Amino acid sequence: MSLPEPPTKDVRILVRARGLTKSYRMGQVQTTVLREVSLDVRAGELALLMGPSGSGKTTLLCLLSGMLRPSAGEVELCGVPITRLPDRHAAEVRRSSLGFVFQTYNLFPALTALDNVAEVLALKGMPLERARALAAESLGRVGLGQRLHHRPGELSGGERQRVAIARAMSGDPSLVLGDEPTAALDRHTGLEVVRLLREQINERRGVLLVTHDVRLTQFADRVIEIDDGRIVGDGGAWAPTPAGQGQTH
Amino acid sequence: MRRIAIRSLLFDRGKLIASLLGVALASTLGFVQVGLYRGFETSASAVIDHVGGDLWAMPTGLEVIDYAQLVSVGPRSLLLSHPCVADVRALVYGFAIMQVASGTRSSALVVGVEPRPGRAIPWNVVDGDAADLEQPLRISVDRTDLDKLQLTASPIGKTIEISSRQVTVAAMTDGIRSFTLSPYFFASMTTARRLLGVGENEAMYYVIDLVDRRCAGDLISWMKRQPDIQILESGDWSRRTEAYWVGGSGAGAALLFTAILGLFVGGVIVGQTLYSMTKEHLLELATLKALGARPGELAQFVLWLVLFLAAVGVASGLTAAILLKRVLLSAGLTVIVSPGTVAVSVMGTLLMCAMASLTSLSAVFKIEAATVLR
Repeated sequence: MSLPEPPTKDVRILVRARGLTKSYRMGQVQTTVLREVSLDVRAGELALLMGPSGSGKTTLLCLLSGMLRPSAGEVELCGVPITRLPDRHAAEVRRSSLGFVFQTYNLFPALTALDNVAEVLALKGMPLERARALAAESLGRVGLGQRLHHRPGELSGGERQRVAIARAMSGDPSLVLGDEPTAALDRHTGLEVVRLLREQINERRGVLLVTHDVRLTQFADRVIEIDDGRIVGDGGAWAPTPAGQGQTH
Repeated sequence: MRRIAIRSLLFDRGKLIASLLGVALASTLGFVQVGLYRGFETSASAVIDHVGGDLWAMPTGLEVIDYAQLVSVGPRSLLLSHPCVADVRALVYGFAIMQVASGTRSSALVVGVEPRPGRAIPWNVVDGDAADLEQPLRISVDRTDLDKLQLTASPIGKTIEISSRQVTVAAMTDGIRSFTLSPYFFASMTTARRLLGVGENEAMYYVIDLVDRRCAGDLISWMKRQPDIQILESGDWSRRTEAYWVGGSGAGAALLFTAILGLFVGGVIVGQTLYSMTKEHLLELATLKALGARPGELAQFVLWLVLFLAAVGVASGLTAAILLKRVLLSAGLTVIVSPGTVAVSVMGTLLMCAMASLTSLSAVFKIEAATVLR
């Protein structure tokens, strides 16, 4: 493997991955789930990471966010070589740079929508009153201004995902990572959620979503296809193949 | 994290009730058992502690106040001749046979001590007048012994037969109970000597008040010339008596075992609740970790739950102990609620909660942020 390049000075490149390989050993068997993957994710773009189950999408997301360490290769997150950092410092980078949206929302059921957002901000060191004000503003932006004091159990799936988006955006992260954010939603709501995510993109922020849902490509600037641990396509347009596999041009 | 933890606990009513019951039960058991233990100790040494004095002189080899024996007359004047000694008070103490109205005979403890200003014996008089005990054949009885003595709630002026003599109740105390379960009868020295068949100048103990407590060692060494007399500091004598009854009888071990068992059961209930709550929120906690929360911050989720439960446990245990104190006293059991017993019980409850949180803390520290993406 070649030596990692020095940290990028180009702030528009939010994630730069080079030669990422990830292998797991289970007993005597070694399984390689990612092989020499290199990619950049830039500010201002909504990128989709697509591929069949077991292709390595989620593992790649874990490596890009510094939640897993690669067996080989380097990741720079907002210019910081996160793979070389101890876990504690990698967490600091995530805290300041990343937002997450998950398939199952992962909201605290006992907290209201407002507090689910505000407590994360408070955890990042913001005074509670300010965190609440900012959370209310974030929730207002995703159309939940009237549902601030509802708990997740009192909200629909789409509303819960909007709370999760508000939580992801409230710390003003540079990059938002989503793991199948529409998988638990009906067609209409799923598209609404991605449209909402699309609206959060600006010249300093990008979004990378892992998804199986080909309908989301209408919102994407870029589709990255992965199969068997390798990137097999990376382009701005996407067209389904007869076998149901995507193909980028 | 405090708000997340407490609200999560309050949100899940079933787990909240189960854990509160567990911690309250365990804490109440702890408070009551520690209070009972201290109550037993206090009962066993109550006479020593209230008679006071700096030193006690008694026959050599005596282990406990209740097994009193006559001490020779000589030492009193010898003690008074020492320059360190300010005063020597004689104390008579012993078992006598009493007979109640129905004819039932049993033993009772008769106590008489020469008075000293500032030392009211008996103490805690709730009816009658302790000064009347100076009249011949007058005694005090304790409220908790009224049933046993077959006396009414107002026993002043009633009579009991002790050592084949009719004695009259002149005062009633409250809460003075012997570890031996025999009723205490306090009387003047003259009456006590008559009831115990002790001679005019005889006594079971001499209670020594020193001019200066620093002389105690000198006086004890000096008195070693009297091999049939042992001199003990009041505190040592009190602790020796407590250890004899509470430790030697096995009552202390039984109370301690019950307290530990209560804390163990409470710990298991609290531990189960904490672990189940932590497991239920692992995904959310992993999400916070993915968002950059440190392991220490995630651990606060468990620690705040534990602190909340411990605080509720201490409050409910203390309240229950105070409420049970009166009920148990009427059943003949003294529960002491003092800063010392509260401190021990609080420590026990906190220790229980801390132990109960270990598995949950371990689970939190093992959380991998990547689990949110799998």
